[in-house]
Amino acid sequence: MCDHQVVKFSILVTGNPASSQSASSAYQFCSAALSAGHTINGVFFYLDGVLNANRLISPATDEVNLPSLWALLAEKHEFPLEVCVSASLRRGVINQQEAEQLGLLHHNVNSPFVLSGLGQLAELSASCDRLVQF
Amino acid sequence: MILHTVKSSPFSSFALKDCLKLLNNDDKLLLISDAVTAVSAPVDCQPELLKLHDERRLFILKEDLQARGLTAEYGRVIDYSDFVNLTIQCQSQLAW
Amino acid sequence: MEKKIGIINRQAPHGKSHAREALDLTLALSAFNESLSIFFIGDGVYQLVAKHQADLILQKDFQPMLQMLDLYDVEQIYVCQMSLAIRNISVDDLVIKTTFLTPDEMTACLARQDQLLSF
Repeated sequence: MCDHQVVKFSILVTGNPASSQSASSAYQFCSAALSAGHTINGVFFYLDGVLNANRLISPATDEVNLPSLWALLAEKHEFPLEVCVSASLRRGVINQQEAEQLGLLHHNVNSPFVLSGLGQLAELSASCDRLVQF
Repeated sequence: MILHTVKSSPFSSFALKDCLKLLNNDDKLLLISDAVTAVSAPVDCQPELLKLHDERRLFILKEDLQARGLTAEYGRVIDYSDFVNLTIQCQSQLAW
Repeated sequence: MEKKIGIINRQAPHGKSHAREALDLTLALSAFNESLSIFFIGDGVYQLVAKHQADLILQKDFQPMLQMLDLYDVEQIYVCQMSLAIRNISVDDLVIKTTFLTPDEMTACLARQDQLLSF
């Protein structure tokens, strides 16, 4: 595969946005790939990476808000942000539907982040030219 | 051909050492995040890294070097767009 | 053609959740992909040492799930021989049947994968 082709990337993010650089690296990689004319099939968040989907994350004003950067990039370039549901539930990352099912009062996942199963990772793996993990 | 990306400092983790043990003849190595420290000081695995450098298979992510105020004594310093191209040139990527 | 996916386990069990969650991922992916290979290298080999008593430290015992790999038709399970030797682990101590590879064999096997996931 040569450099000038349009390449479809799927990205796997496993790092906590507040305590590791992994998710930031993934975001910068996605930005660079998109700038070069490639496409992002989707980003799958697993392990502590699911914390990227928590909309209650509120960093200090002079710090980068990575979840909101992800949301902007995904909406602009129309790729999904898939968050593993089982990894999310055990870390308190909950959408409205799960909150209702589990009888929880609150939820903290908003579009464009969506909770999904590991089948979505299989789908992203099957449909991409390159899978890159951070 | 695998692009190995290592992100932990060799001063605190065995990731780089373990990666070097499994590097194939045509694989490439990219140091990112804290692993960029490996080319700013003499480390145990420097002979292996210098060999990779000679074979043009060692890359260091510029942003991660600069963010830490470090310079690379060897290896090719590349930016994120080069990183993207490396993932395309290689068949797969292995994150350490 | 279906992509060959290699899942690499590098972390010791229980101290972090990587081992357990990588196994969850492996079992889930096996429903969608029949070309999975699992690798245990470095501290990852500790995941295979028999007779974990994870409940003593309030962790989940995932070893029964390891034994399900066979039921899920995940049969390509590779362990780094050198990682075992360095850690003084005998091949008889392992909880599941695996194939032992030298570093060179491991390198060759990794090169045959289309995608690699590392935990």
